[in-house]
Amino acid sequence: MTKRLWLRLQSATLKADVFINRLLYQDFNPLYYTGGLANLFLTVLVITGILIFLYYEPSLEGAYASVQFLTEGVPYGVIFRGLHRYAADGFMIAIFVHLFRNWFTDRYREARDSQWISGMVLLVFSGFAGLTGYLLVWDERSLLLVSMTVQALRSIPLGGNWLATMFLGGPGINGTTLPRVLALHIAPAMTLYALLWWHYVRLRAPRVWPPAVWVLFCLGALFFVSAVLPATSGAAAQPGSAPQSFEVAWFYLWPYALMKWLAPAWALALIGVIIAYGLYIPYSIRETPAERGLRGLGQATVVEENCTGCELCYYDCPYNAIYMVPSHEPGKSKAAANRKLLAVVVEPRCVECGICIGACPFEALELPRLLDKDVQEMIRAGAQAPAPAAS
Amino acid sequence: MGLALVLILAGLGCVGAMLYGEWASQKLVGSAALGLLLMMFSAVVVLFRKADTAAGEE
Repeated sequence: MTKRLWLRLQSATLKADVFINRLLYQDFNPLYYTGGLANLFLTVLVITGILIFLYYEPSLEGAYASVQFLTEGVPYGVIFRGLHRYAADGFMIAIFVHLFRNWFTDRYREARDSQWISGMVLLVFSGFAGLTGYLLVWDERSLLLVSMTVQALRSIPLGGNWLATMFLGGPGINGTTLPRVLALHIAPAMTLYALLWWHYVRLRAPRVWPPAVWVLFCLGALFFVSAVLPATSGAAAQPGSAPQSFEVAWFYLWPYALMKWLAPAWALALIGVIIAYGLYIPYSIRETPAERGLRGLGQATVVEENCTGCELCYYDCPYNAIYMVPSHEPGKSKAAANRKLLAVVVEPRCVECGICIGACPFEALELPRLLDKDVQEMIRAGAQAPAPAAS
Repeated sequence: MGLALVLILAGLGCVGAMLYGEWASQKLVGSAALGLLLMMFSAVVVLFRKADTAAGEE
């Protein structure tokens, strides 16, 4: 049952690729650039975030007024606020399409676990940065969300009260609360770039930016939506009179919506389980290593005397596991006598796939437990084995 | 190509709307027109590219 559902999801994902390729020119298929689109929205978020930061006043008295001044008093301020607001939504949409596409097409297995895990951490940090953004506006909804956050933190059995006090900067909402929320908004957002390095480090040629057509389209869509549906605030927060309900922005505020149906402790536990399952996905494969095609051939090694520095292996390795360094000595073979570069394998990144062996025309790379002579021996043994009886 | 022509003309209309928005301090109108212009420009690029590809395949 689960397997059939999975195959259907996989088939639907691939059919979406084919459908869009027919509709658009293949190079413009946005499904091939979902990570790049997320980067585009992140860039818009950072630029507009810096501009908004210049006007934002993180104090109980001034926060709401500063946001209102930005929206109504600063030329195009309402547009910048809208761009920040809607780019955050676009960011989440791109991330989720990226996640599900890679999940349904099995691009999280084996050597790709690093990308999957870093992606999950990126998702958690992005969600947290987005969520805290809603608290900074300091309208009635922000006040309710802050009180719900404190309630959730206090429901944590060990250290919950301490976390709530750290979040608020005291036993209740006070002058240091909003600077803390601002820090909790900006710090995870800045961390995203370090996490992106982790996300990309094992990829040879990641598509980090969408084609110009999609950059123009997304920027246009952001400007259009920001003008047609301007981002607005609710009534100013009045401590002691938080509203009982709020408009749910589903991309970021769903944890609070959960708390409408579940006790805070259970809602937190459910979120924890979802994150833990996300991190477990690459390791949930039940097949044995042999069934998974893992051969244990040892990481690729460079036969230095044969390396000509041609860079073919460097360009072919999909895991960015081969670097070219300046060669200070000539190789021993005739072809390698005048080399300028030498290939070096970064062992922790090598997945023993053997692609570099096929890429090298000079026999300068080998898998230590599957040498040429071993392959020849296997072929010879196979040729001599009796043919299976016809059934 | 007919659709591309319509989009190009609509794009000129958007430029007019942007100028009006700036002149009349209608920032939302100007920004919406800018957004539409960018989206239509990207559509024009795709249409030309598809037309070019189709011509190349013949």
